[in-house]
Amino acid sequence: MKKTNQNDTIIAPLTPSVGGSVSLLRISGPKAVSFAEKVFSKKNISQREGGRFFFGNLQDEQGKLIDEVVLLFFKAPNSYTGEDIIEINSHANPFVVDTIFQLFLRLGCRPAEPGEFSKRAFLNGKMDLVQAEAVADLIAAKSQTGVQNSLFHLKGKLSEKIIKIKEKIIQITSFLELDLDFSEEEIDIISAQKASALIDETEQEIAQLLTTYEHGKIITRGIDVLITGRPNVGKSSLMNALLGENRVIVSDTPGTTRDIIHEQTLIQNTQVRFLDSAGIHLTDNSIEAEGIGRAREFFVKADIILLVLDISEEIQREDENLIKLLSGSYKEKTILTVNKTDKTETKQLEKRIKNKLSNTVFVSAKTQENIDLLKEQIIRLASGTQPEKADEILITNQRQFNYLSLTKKALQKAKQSLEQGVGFEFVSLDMRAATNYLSEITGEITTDDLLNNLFSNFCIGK
Amino acid sequence: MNTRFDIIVIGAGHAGLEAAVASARMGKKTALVTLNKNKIALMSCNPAIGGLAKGQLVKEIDALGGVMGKIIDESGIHFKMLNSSKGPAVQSPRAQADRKYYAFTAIRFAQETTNLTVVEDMAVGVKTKNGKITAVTLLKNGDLSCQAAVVTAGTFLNGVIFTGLHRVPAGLAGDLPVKGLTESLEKAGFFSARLKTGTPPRVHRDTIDFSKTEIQEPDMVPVPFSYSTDSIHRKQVNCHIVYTSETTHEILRLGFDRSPLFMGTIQGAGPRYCPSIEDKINRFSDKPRHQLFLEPEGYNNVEVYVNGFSTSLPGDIQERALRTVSGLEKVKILRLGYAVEYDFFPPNQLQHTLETKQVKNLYFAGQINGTSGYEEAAAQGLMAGINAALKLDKKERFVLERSEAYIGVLIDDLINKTHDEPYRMFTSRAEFRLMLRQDNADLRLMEKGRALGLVEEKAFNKYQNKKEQIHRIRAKDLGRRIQPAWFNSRFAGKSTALQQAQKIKDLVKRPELKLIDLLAAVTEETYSEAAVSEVEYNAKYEGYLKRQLEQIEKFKRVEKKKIPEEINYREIKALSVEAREKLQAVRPENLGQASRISGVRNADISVLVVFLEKYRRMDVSRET
Repeated sequence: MKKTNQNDTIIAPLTPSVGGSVSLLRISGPKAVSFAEKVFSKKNISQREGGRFFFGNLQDEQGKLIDEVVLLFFKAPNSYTGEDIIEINSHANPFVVDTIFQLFLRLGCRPAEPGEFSKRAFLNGKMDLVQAEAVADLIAAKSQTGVQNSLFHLKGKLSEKIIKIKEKIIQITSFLELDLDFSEEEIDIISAQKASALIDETEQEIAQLLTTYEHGKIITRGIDVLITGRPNVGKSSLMNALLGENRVIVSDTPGTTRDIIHEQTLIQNTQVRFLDSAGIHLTDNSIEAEGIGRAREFFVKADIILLVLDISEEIQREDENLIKLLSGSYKEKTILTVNKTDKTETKQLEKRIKNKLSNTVFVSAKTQENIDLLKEQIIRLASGTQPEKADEILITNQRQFNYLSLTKKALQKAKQSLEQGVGFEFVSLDMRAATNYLSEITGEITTDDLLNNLFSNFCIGK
Repeated sequence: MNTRFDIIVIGAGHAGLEAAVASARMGKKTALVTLNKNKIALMSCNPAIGGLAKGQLVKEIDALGGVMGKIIDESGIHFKMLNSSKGPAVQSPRAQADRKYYAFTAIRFAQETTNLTVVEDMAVGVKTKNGKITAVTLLKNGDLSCQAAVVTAGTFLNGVIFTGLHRVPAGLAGDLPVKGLTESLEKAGFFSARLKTGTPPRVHRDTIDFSKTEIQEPDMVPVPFSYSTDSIHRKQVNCHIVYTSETTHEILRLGFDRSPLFMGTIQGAGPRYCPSIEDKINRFSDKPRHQLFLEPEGYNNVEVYVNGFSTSLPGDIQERALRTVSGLEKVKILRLGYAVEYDFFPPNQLQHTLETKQVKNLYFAGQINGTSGYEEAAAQGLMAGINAALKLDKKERFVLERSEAYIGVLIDDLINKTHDEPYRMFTSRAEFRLMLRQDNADLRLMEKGRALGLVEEKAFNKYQNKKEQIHRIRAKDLGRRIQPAWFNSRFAGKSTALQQAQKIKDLVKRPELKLIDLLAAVTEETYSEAAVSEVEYNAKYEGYLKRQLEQIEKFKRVEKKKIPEEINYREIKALSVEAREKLQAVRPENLGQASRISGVRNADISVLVVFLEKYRRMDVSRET
């Protein structure tokens, strides 16, 4: 069934997922304020006047700090939509934005449909008649691009995948319906166990797809880069060169995942965070020493490791230790960054490190030589070092993620029903719900789909 | 003959009979026009009423005061509750009928109904004035004037029957087709299309070797369809099952070059759920055999209906093929199977009352709307008859929601969906089927039927008694606690032992426990089985039913958002092109209906919401 309920509370980001230093999320609906009060450090927002802003901390359900934010409150009817609106200004770290978004979904918000804020604004009398046409066009246009963005990116692979999953669910539901509507026919009926196994299979597929949301967010989530090397090879100047003018100021809020992040920047529209490597020291004997433990933590955490060497000097023991260490299991994500090419033309180093590490870039932090090349390498390698292959289907869209999660939950309920041994008509209730959730991503479903599937696959009818 | 009637019903099949009886009982002077006075509610295809999902329809018809359930209770010879091993929501009653006695009973019902006149004639046209029906033109009797008319012409409109290369204009075997009515309706602004259906051969009972067949027995205790029937006493007979073989299929294939189906002679689409035998072996060639049900057509009737062998292949092939079936080696065919192609009027030309949008006070019901099945037809006939009578009385229309009845699902699907095959009811079409059980049709509908004046005192009293018992069990007994001593001694080894007293409403959730057994612990009262099972179902599946109720609430909210009639969808450019055309054609009454029209998407509904608000505001500003 289609959703046209105006009474729920909806949420959507107003700023693009990348770029800018501040991110804005809008929550509109009757429960906007009460949801916010549950997770914002300042309470009693509802008792204040509208049009106010508040500084404070946003925390998750367990009280864990997510970000320091500015919260704006617009009281109904004096808001854009005519409903209570809460807008949250957070740092433009996509990870933070996403965490906040997820938090409000858990509280009971629903992701806004394309053009829904404007639609509500109109319905609540916040726009005049002349604008009605414009709002309608906006909805039409946004749902068009929404379809294009969400479904047909990655050459339609995700779309294909979701449609396939939906077909599978319809297929399983058909098996159940067959037993209900055509039990008089001479047809093999599916067993509850078999149905459960099939549902389980589909659930796994969705679960797998859901995990790609993490990887799919590489573009929005960003890349963690560790710059390492012995002292005085130019790590700081290299970082500054990479940061360029896009440097992002990060707050030092303790207790967040960002406590080891040093600096951030945008490279090719991707968030790049530099991990603070201050704790890593690999002196002569340290390969066997305890310091290695801490270093490993960083190596594991980082998406990309830049091992910096100074071309103007001879290779030293510590350099070799690092090369040895990183050419092992970290080889795939390490870029040997040979710095200070401005100082010498000597390529002797090249020979000595050859075959040790496949990714090597010669740069000069001082003259910016090859810094762009290094940036490209970082992005290319980061995409490649994801556990998934390049043609892997990824979810990048919050709505898709949300509806796929709901689908998965419905499938779990259906499985439970089968285990409890209740009739297929009850199992079908959740299977249909699952199909409806997927339809929110792909388009429409009617019971006709079910029947069509039955008629084409089974010899039915006396 | 009197030539002035309030309501004229054209066609006395299952739809026509219900329409005519309902309208007459609601006080309207009614004429029922039929080609043959002795063929009322004829079972022209299989001799059975009910079946999965269809059984629910019959119960609903009965709860509203229709006649189908009563007639089958009188004439049924083999009652069976289908899916009896499954949950109540998907159980359905079915009964084989004595075909002749069914029609005989139907004629009696028609005769006994006051205000109802059966007119033997052929309707060839309708007359309208100012967009409203004024008269029906009959071939022999000329014009009969009326204030409303219900067309229930079945497969008779320009019907053509096919058997092999033979092609005969006919309504059904042995009956004349009706010519002229389609053309007259088209002139009045309707458009028609073609559909196809088929029927199997009838064979002579005495030429079947029953020793080679499987026996299908009826239920030990037949359960009646009608709420006014107390019990069934008629002698019950068996059905028999035989199977086709690869040899049968080979012979059938020999006739494919003379098959009107495969040669393209038949244009209309046939039902996929009721395919012909040639279609089955063609599409599912890997299936080595197909089941055939030998259904007796009555106690004193030598005809046996070969269910599962619907065909339009040539006669010689039909006979040769049947004779390869074990048990049918010497079978003699009495009537050949055939396909029939007929006109229907795509039902998006109708409103929820089944009144046409084009001509006021004109109603269509049954196969003319592209449905198949006696039950689907009867349900529509009843609703059309009721609404025609209500309209003449200037009373509020009578429409059932999808969440209330299969009848609601049926009519809503008819007018909103695109149909390219005859429409048959399935439980899977009803999204709220957990609530739409065959055994609660009375609770859902009988008060409505009573208010319309169609439900008799006796049935209504029975219903009230059941309702009262249900209330008592819920209010008094469900909350009572069962003591461990009593429980553990009775259910040792069957159910987990109780440590402390527990309420019945919690205990009944255990799948292995029956409410009736638990009630014995706390009350002396004897409740009816119907009342107990109603309470039990609701208690046992409370979680699921609660979710279904939530879905219904959500459904109703959208259903309340009315769409003004004058809206011009073609002007709303933000709608997709397909949605614009579909909405313009159907002209939905509310937002919920709009969302169920094939081809209308979520974004279109959002756009509509915006425009509805625009219209509302424009209205307000006009008024002030």
